[in-house]
This record gives sequence, C-alpha cells and structure tokens, in this order.
Amino acid sequence: MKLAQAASYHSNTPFDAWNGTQWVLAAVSGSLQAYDRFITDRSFGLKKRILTIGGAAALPANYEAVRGLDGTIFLITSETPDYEVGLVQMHSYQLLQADHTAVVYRTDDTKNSVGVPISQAEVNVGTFFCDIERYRTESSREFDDSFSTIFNITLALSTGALINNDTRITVGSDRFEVREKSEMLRSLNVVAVRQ
Amino acid sequence: MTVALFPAQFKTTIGALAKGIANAADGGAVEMVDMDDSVNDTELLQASDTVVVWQLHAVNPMPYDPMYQFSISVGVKTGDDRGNMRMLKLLGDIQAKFAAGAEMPVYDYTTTTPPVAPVGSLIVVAISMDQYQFDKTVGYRMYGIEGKALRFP
Repeated sequence: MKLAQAASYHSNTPFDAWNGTQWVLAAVSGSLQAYDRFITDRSFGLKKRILTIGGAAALPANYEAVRGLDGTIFLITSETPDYEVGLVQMHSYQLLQADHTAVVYRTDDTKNSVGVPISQAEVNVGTFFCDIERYRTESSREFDDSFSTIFNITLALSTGALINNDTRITVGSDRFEVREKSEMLRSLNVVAVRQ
Repeated sequence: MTVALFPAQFKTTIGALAKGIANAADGGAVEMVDMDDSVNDTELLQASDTVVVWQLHAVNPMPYDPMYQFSISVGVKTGDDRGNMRMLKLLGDIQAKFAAGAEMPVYDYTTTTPPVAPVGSLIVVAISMDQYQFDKTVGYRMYGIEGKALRFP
C-alpha cells in the first residue's frame, strides 16, 4: 500500500490519449519520465519514455498513443503492472516517440471471371502514428545486383489487420513495401523496403 | 475481334486453363502463379504451398495473322512433397489437359465479364517435360508445350 501511495503521489501529470478515433483527456494522471540509457539496445532512450500510473488504475486497452504537454506523440508499446503483496501498485508503460504518420495502402486485385488477377489498384485504408528507423540493406527481389534499404516501422497494434505483404506504406515522401510484420506486446513492428 | 488483343486473350486463356487445373486438384487447395507476374506472388513461391505455375513464352503470327504459333510452359511447384508424388499427379493432370492433338477454344478473359463466345482456337502439337529450370529452388517441373492457334476474324 505504501508503494501504491508513493506511485500515486507522483502520478500528477495529465495527458491526452488517442483512443483509436480521437484525442481524449485520460481519466488518470501519470508520471512521464525520460530515460537516457538501458531502455533498448537500438534507440538508447532517445525516442523512448516511461509512463507510470500509480494505483490499480490502468489505461484502457484501446488507447494506442498518448500526447505529452508539449504536444509530442508517443505510441504505447508495452504495459507492465507492478505488484505489491498481490495487489497492483503501479502500471508502467513503455512509450515510443511517434514523430511520423504512415499512410497505409492495401493492394486490391481485380480478377477475371475465372479468378485470375488481371489488374491491381491501391486503396488508402488510413493514416496512423508511427516511428521509423533505418534497419539494414537487402538485395532486391525484382532486380539483380540491386539493394534496397530496409526500415522498421512501428505502428499501433490495431493496424495489424490492415497490413500484409501486398501493403504499401508512405511516410512523408518515402514509399515502402512491406516485407514482414510481427506483433510486439502492444505495438506492431513492420519491416519494409524503401522503394 | 482485333489483332492487337489476341496475345492478351490467348494469355488469359492459358491462365484460365492453369487455374482450372489448380482448382480441380486437392479440393481447390492448390494455388496458381503466372511466372511473369511472380514478383506479386513471392510468398507462394517461397513457401511450401503446392502451386501450378505457368508462363507464356511466345504467341507469334505464323506465317501471318490469323494463324499463330505458340510456346508455353505449364508445371508444378511443390514443397514438403516426399517422393514428389503430389507433383507427379499434378503433372499428370497437366499432361492430360495439354495432350498432343488437344483442341481448346481461346476466350477473352481480359475483363471481369465472363466471355460468351470463343475468339479463337488452339491445338497442342507437342508436349514434353522440361528439365529442372529455376536455379536455387527445388521441386519445380514444367512441361514445354508447343502448338498452333487460330484467331477468329
């Protein structure tokens, strides 16, 4: 109980949360902390933050992102309850700064009367907060001796149903072709080739 | 019936025949891939799925329109196919469909509208199983099929 009281005492920062449709004022306040090391092996805390909320209250599962006082948007990438003698005394959320927006396009095939594709078109299925990082290079599957730059795009978990190997994503003026996707706790990791 | 459309009509007819072979095999669990469009079906080709594969090599006026000579490949890719039995059964289906002397109508499948009348006809002159064709892959065998076609003026 003492731990819960201490955690709640420091959870005094209000913030907005994205519920999948719009920004709403979160029903709970939290403590948004900067970590400069030991968060991950790649981003070294530069883009990652920790949000703690004291007591048993948790952010609803449909909250995908939070917005800090300065307007910076963070994706919620994980949720960890901390326990004290069987009771939740605090929730810790790992946040990833999402400075970009991804426009996701699905590829729809037009098929002839026997089911053979005869043309395809891209359909815009939505715009989502994302983070983007250069990952590696990989040989092209279309052209010999050509190499593509591979990026990691991190999106909200709910976008997983919209993304497959035929998906194209644009971030700013860059256009990406999806190679693979994997769910990681509360976020979706997409490996994509810049075209 | 225009001369310019005939290569596309012929190609979509071969695609429809290959799709028919795929649909009839293993309760419809077999996919079909046009090897000239393989970049859009990379997952199917790299996974262990059974796939009917085909490719149009040439359909040329011979000696001039409306008479044509064609060359196509139709085959199978299988994975997890111990003894290649699934592959050989499907190759048997292909050999039966494209047996030498077989005549088939050419339809216009280039649009979403089902064709009603044939736009031509084809006859298979020769069919032979090709050797291993695609480097760094396993389980591919294709028939080389030669024949003649006629466009209905």
